[in-house]
Amino acid sequence: MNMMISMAWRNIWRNKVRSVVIMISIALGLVAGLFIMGLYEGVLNDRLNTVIRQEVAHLQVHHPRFQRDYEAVFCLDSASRLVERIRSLENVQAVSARTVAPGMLATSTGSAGVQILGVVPVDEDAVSGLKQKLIEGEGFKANRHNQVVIGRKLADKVNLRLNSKLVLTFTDIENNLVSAAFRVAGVYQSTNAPLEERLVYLHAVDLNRLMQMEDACHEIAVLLNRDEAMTTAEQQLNRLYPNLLIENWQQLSPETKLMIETTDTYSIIFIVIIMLALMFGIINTMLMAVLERTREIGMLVALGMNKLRLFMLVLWETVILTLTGAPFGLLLSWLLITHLGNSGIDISSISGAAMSGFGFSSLIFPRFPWSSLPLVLYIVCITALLASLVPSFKALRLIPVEAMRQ
Amino acid sequence: MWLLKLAWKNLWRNRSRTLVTQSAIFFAVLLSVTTSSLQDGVFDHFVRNMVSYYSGYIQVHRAGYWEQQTLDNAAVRNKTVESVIANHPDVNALASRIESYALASVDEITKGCVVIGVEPDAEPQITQLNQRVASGRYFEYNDQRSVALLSEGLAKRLQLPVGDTVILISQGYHGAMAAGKYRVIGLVRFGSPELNDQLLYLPLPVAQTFFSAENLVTSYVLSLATDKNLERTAASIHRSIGKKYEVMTWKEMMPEVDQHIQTDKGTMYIISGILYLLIGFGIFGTLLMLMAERKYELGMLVAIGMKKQKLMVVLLVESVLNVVVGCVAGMLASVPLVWYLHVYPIRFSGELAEAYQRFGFEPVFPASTDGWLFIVQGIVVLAMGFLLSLYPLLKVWRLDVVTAMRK
Repeated sequence: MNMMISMAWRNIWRNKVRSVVIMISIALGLVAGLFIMGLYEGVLNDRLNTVIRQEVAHLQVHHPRFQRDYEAVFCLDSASRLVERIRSLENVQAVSARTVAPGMLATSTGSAGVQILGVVPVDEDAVSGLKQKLIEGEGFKANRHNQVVIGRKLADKVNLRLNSKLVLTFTDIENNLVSAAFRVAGVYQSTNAPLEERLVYLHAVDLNRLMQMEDACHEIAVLLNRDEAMTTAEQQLNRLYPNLLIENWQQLSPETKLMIETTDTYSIIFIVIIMLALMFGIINTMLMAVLERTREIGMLVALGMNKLRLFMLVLWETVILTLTGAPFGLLLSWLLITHLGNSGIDISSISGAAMSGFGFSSLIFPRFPWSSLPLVLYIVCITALLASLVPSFKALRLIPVEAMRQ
Repeated sequence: MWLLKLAWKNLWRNRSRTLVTQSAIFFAVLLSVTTSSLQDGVFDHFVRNMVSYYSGYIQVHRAGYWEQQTLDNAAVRNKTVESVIANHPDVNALASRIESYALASVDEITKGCVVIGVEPDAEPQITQLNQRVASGRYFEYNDQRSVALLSEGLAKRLQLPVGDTVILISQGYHGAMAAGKYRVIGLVRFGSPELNDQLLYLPLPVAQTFFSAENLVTSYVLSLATDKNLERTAASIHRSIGKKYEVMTWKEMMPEVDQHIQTDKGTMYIISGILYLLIGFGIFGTLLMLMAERKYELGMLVAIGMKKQKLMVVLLVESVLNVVVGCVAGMLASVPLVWYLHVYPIRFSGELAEAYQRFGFEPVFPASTDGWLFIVQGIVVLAMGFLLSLYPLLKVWRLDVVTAMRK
């Protein structure tokens, strides 16, 4: 055994060029696999961040019947105490209480169905970054009544500008129709066009007064400081408030979940293809290496080396090559991904798309895929082993007399 | 001529070597064709799913409607325009719609909803609306009755079973008062909560009467055979029907979906790049070993007086033959493979498949059988093979006879 390993080791360094080529292919395969994983992780992370930090937050709390009926009566009572309690929980970064009313928006030129959200501006800024999304106006100002913030798409659709007046109609807690005039204090832009067209923000004080609600709200959005803490926080909330409906972003935004899982699934297909390419590369190089050594192998057999040992020799060579190539690959991918993860890859230059007009970023920031590292390592090692089997069998089939005749 | 002959004989002299070299190219072509056909297929499938959900590939409105979506911007139905669009070679199906908001009310409960008047026979060709019916039944052919299809979520919120009546109130064309009552004949299911909680379908003539908008439509919805000629088709339709209309592609109507696809395409290009890198390295490794094996033989040829230039020509001919044979074989072999993946697409299961079905999508990753794909990928690998074939030439150029023949 020891002799086999030392022979394999010497064989590797006897033909440096060949060995280096194989090591580089293995390192390259590892870099390719990890890089693609990292790329997808970056893309998914970006999407997740948008959905969680700009739209739905990690968790939302509702009255169990609210989302089905959208009736104002199904509200959460003594909201301020509830919010304080949730805010004091572990891992909670920000909490925003919202009063929700479906309604109609009317101006002199048109009307539209909207979802009215009554929010406490500071809290909403912390949860969904409303303030950062403003492209016109400064948003809610203190000591002013009946201000509204609307989306750019809605503003275009019904011809509204900053400081324009509009009328909102909705039902209050006793199911009476309420209409009130508001002035546009800000226009926001988001990456989600349908939401931008539908959501309008009011100050919670104004909306609650009009809806005859006192210390109540319909929806509490909870942003956590870590994505991983979500399950624990969800369980904790469920324990504390068994009578309320607690939902996470996966339930609130099934489309995002669908998109993320689709990407996850097809990334695996492409990784398999990449690994196949790697495998053929290694097989071919090793085959050529065996062909090149025909004479030498023939001599070994003629001298009386048995077939099993010969087989093991070629196998050991490949294993050693893999084990030497892999650390280089790991180091290289870590450097590459960390570097690109800081500077970002501008895909608009690759796919030729102009996306900045919609407020999208065309940069991808790959992240080192720590979680899938064992998987990729495993795949690369199996690939290299499989690849080494073919040349090993090829070596076995050489006939010593023919091999040595040159 | 004798150079060609020598090259030919060299190829046959050591068959396993030739085979290994050609197989390197062969698998390179096979893999890159499969990859790009899967990439293309996945996007095509995704886009088809997205547009068959609601929007269609292209919509035609009266100019200005998209910016201000009110009934006052609806277009008068025009048979000539309709036949011009329907007869466009790339257009598969055409359906007219009238769309606006209304309040739906049952007893004490009132909800806002989107009312869509559709042609019962044309609409399923674009959105498969008839297959979305979860309970009750779909409209009849040329339906004129006062009947409605409700999205499940809306029906639930109105607490309305199939067979009951819903009252609609809204503002019609030019501010006319619109009110009517409709019997619910079926419920339709959409995976996206946004649509599922809002949509209410009426037969087109019934909706037109409701909105006092006789003979008006807000949009013509078009379905295409393929997404490939999207922009060209839109432009040519726009040219033929004139400036009174606006022609919008799904990319303009749903920029956020396009954005996601562009990001994914960007990552796909990067993946293809990595694949080429690996393939190129595989081919290079093979050539490298090939030259190591033939060092002695080549050194001897030069030693007995063969001119290096002539030897380079021989090697070039060998490489070209190897690359071309490998490429053609790879392209031929990829045809049945891709065809198989197209007819029996990769199916996935588990949670993701369930999610797809909830949205009414088929849980598959089909391959695209676009002929261009084979040619483009073939040429890419061919070019790569030729480029890498320069390595043996370089090696001969720098060949030192004495070291080459030293065993």
